[in-house]
Amino acid sequence: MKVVGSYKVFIPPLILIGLLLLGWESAVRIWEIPSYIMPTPSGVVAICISESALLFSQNLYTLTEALLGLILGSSVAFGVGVIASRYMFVERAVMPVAILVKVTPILAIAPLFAIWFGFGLLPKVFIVSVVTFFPVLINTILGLRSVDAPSMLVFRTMGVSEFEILIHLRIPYSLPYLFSALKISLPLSIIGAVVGEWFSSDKGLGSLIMVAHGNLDTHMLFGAIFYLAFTGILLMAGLSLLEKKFMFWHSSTKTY
Amino acid sequence: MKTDCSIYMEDISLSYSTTSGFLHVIDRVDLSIQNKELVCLVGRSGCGKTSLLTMLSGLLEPTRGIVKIMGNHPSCARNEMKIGYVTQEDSLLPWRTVRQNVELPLTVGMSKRVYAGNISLKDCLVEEMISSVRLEGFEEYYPYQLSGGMKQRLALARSLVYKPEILFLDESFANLDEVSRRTMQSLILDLRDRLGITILMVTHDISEAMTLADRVVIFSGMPSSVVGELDLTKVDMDSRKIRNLQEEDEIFDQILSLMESRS
Repeated sequence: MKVVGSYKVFIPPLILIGLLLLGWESAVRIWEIPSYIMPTPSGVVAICISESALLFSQNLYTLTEALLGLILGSSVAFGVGVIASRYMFVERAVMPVAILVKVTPILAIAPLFAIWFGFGLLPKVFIVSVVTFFPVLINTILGLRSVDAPSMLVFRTMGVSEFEILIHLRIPYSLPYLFSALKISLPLSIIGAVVGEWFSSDKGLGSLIMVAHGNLDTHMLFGAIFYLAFTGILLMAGLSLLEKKFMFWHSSTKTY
Repeated sequence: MKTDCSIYMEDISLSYSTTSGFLHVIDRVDLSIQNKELVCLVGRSGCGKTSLLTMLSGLLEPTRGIVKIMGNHPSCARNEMKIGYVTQEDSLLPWRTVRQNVELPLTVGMSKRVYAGNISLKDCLVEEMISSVRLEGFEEYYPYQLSGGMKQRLALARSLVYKPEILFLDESFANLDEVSRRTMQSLILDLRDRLGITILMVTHDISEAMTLADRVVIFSGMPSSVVGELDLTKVDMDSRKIRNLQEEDEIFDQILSLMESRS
């Protein structure tokens, strides 16, 4: 029964994607659009298969940057969030700086990171950290403060320490907020890695896109985009699985 | 101050500073509760009953007066895990099973040191408490898989597993249906007799107070104060079930008129 259920979930988006690809393929062929402007989906699929080794290795590099940056940015944001949720003056000090970083376009900061940290993995990891920091920070502060009031009262009556309250109450109750933050930060991490590669890399799918763009090789360009999109979908699916595993108790994961 | 008092309050007042001004909630309350006594504090909703319990738990300081729990400041009793608290709302941790919820108080605070090296004793206490509240067979269930009455029984087990000397019940049965409520009431009387704990229960339900209490304290007015007390141990409380209806009605009316006296 479960297999039938999953099958039903995947059918509608697959039909829509199939129709879009069919429309795209037909439009390119009917109007004879040159391939340097718009490739056919079948041509893109062919490149994805024939150049799979290249695309896969470059994708792995971009993925490494994205995940390392996400882990770094989220960990720092979580740590700062824990302190800021406890001490109001820390929150007051941190928030204006965090907002300043958030509202500054990453495209404006990325070249600076290349100057400061060179052309290796580091500048991209830092760029991703910057773009993923804010959503995790905001949601950590909000989540850690959103503890169920009766539970808190009972815990405090038992003379439990603040650290134990953090571990047993605040962090579990903040999970819905943290997963929401990660759902925003995960796609941002891939965007950050690609943007970072545009400015300071000869590796990764972002770099490959720039080269393909320079050569008017739209097949390769679309191939790289498809790999990025597919990676993003896989990561989001993995995150959803983790969410279901850790938040099985939360109403948002139940279907009534 | 009497030495056998579990709870002692002398000339207690409580005021809050709110955004709309100064709110005087409790005014000059004197109340002492003896060891193993079951006292029901009856009052209308919003009269400061929960504030009083919060104060007795050491989480709120009175504006004036003295509060003693087992002869010490309430925060001492709290840190020594001498207080159990059951709220009206669900306070269970939804990601923990029944067993894990009951076990939790033994793994935190002062209990952590006491039971750290004695897993078998800890397991034994947990099993015993689950059995006391009649939740055997549901040990691996999560709170969302239980009924309202079962959840409150679980909350009660969690509040008693670390053997507190005082139990605060904050309108704990208010959200239950009649059958579950009666089950909880008989469970409370049974546990009080077996564990020998002092119980202070706040409620707005006069019938419930009459069913359970050794003594009913009536809280009324704004700011609230104690407007009357009824010692039900002197009113044939050993045979509550066979007490005649006329007498019961008289007590009910007496409590109700006291509740309304300063409203």
